[in-house]
Amino acid sequence: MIKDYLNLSYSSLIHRGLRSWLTIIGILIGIAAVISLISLGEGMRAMVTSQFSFLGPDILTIQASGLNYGPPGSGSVNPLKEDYIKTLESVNGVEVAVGRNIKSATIEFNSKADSTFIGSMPSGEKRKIIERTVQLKPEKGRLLKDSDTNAVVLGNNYGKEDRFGKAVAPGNLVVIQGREFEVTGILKKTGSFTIDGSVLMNDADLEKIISVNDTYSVIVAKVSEGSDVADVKAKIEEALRKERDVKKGEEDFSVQSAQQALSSVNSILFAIQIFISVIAGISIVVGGIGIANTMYTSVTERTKQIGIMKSIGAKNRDIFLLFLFEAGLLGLVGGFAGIAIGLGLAYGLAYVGTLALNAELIVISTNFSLVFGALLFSFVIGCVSGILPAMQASRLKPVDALRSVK
Amino acid sequence: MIRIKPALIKYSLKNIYKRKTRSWLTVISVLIGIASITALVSFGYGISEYTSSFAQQMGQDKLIMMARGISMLDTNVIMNKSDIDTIDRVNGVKEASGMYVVSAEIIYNKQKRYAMVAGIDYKNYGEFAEELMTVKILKGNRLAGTEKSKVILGYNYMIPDKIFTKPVDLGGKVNINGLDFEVLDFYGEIGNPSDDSNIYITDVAAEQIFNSKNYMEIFIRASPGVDTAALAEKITVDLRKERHQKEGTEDFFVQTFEQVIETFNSILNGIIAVVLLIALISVIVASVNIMNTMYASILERTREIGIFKAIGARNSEILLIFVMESGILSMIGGIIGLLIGMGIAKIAGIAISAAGYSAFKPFFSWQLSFGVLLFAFLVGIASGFVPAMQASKLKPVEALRYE
Repeated sequence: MIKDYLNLSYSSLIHRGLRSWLTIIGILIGIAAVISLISLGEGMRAMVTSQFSFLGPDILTIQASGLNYGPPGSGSVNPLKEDYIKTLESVNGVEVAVGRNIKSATIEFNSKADSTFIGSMPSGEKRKIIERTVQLKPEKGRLLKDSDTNAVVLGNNYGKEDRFGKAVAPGNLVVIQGREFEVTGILKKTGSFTIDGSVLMNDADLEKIISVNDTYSVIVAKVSEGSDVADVKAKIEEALRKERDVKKGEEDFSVQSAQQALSSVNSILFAIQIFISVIAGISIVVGGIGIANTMYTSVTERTKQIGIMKSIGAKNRDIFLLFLFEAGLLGLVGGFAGIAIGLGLAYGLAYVGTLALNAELIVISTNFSLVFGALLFSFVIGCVSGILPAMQASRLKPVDALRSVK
Repeated sequence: MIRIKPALIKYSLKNIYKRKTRSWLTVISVLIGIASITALVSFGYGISEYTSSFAQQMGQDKLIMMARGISMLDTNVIMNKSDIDTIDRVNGVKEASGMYVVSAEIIYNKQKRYAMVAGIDYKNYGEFAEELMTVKILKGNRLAGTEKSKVILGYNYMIPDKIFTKPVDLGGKVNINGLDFEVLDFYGEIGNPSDDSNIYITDVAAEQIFNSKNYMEIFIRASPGVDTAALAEKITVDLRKERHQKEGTEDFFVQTFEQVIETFNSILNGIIAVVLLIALISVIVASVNIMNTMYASILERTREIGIFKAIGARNSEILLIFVMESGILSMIGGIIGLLIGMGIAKIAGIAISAAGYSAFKPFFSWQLSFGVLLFAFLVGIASGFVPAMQASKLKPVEALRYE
């Protein structure tokens, strides 16, 4: 039965070769556009997500509230104090709390200046924890030690020529906020552009160039194994409320898990992606109208044929299904071709982008549910566009249809 | 020479009318793309119109010195009174004034919010600063310059449920970072929620209460007739000398406002171009649809074409008939699409301004309307051309024999 429909549809599509192709092209353009844009968007989201991946699920980030236009803590009204560390570490379920300062600064090398973020490194055991959680590894030279003074480790981007016209190497001197520092190492690429473009220096060194007044930009708390993260988060909030003398609901600080930090960024990216997909999706609707148009023409052209079919016993339902099937087939073929072209386009663009920017920015992964969804969608669009023409065809009176002249 | 005869137009229109369903579907497919392009472009126009109006209100005699860098509130670049002195000494500078910015916690009616507080030298440069920020004082109660516990609030503070549930009253008290300030006046609407939430105090208050030492930006006004771009260069050179910095290693930059707006506009144009390109895809699909419709139409009328040719129609006339037909179809789609697109933009503009972004409103111009219609017409002609060529080359005898 289905085979018969398939045969009939196929032969009638082939019969109207050029027009069938044009209809299919109409659908495939839209599908290809949406597929490539969604794939690129997903790749972009994955890239942004990887920026946060170093924050494990057991890490809580504490910040003072304020307007955040820059690095964490930059706009805070009542900054986090150094002695919170003790308070936090006495909270049940907190394994360790590490305070860090993140400040913007000017860095000079090879007679060129650049703006950067400086991340402070704590000493002793806590240094190891930061190195582990952020996965800091030297590509050249070595990481900082407690005994280092006037020394910095630079992110991977500084090891390339494009920053200062000359690559920075271990042993070089750079000027930060007017003071000379020796570079002990260049970090391995982390894929996070904030880390790859930043500067690390010991707490004591940072205080020499920027006054931090015993405050921290951000405090990172690691939840001990076996403790419930949400539970510990509530306890930290309570301890800090007491410390900062604020009532519940009026907190002037925030405690965020990695998931929360991620979800707020993700939701913005998602909204942009939806907007672009909707605009691109309009073209699929236009393609669907093309199918409807082709089917109406097809019904008109085959009026006589329909009359013959009906007079030898075809039911309304059979005629309806025949045309519906044909429309669905148009959509499906367009969908197949569109997916192939769309994925090709996405991979191609990502490749060109990688070459042009000399970095693995966007990695496209073929999303099976996206491919399947697009196929199903194109079939459904085809069928929906075919409903009205197919109804028209099925309701033709056999005698009138037989009598019709083109 | 081909002439468009009224009879040909009449014939095209008749054919479009005769195949109603198909014509409508083709028109709809064109109008969808045209409507989305109209809506998007009118918004793009609206935003650049907003920035240009800024430039106009500000005049062309202003420059700004800012810290280089990534973050606004936490720059470690020192900008202070000695920089203003340096700038004042440059030939061609009329006046210069610095602005402090503090991020602060605002409490009113037990609700807590965060906002930017600007410390301005109201005593000497109040009007200059207002001209620069393109704000207008509502009741005329300007700060005299010495007040330490009086504020002017941004527009959104007087709107219920925007910042605080209850609007702040004139003469009322707000608490900023733990200190009470009396509300002296409000500024008129700027058009975006971030600027309309700003708070303004005197520079004296910023220095003494919030301990500000470092300007966030320095505003400069050029003397009449001075070329601002060249002046920016001169100021940069002098500041560099004064700050002992080498070329390329400055931690600041001086720009004219035209340059600032140009940078902004070029980014904006880039975004609009990308979105427009995506919207154009649907026009391409519509053009494929037109082509398809025309092929079907020509196939159906093969015999008619044969008769035309047999009674003396030239190839060029047949070509013209079909090109015109697709052009008219597309043009109808263009007109309806333009109207629908404008309607969508209007409605979206109202929704967006209700959300606090009154700056984002669509801007309609006759250039846009004309351009969109011309575009629709050209798309129609281009898509109809290949089918029409095919029709015009039909051999009369074969066409007459066609069934």
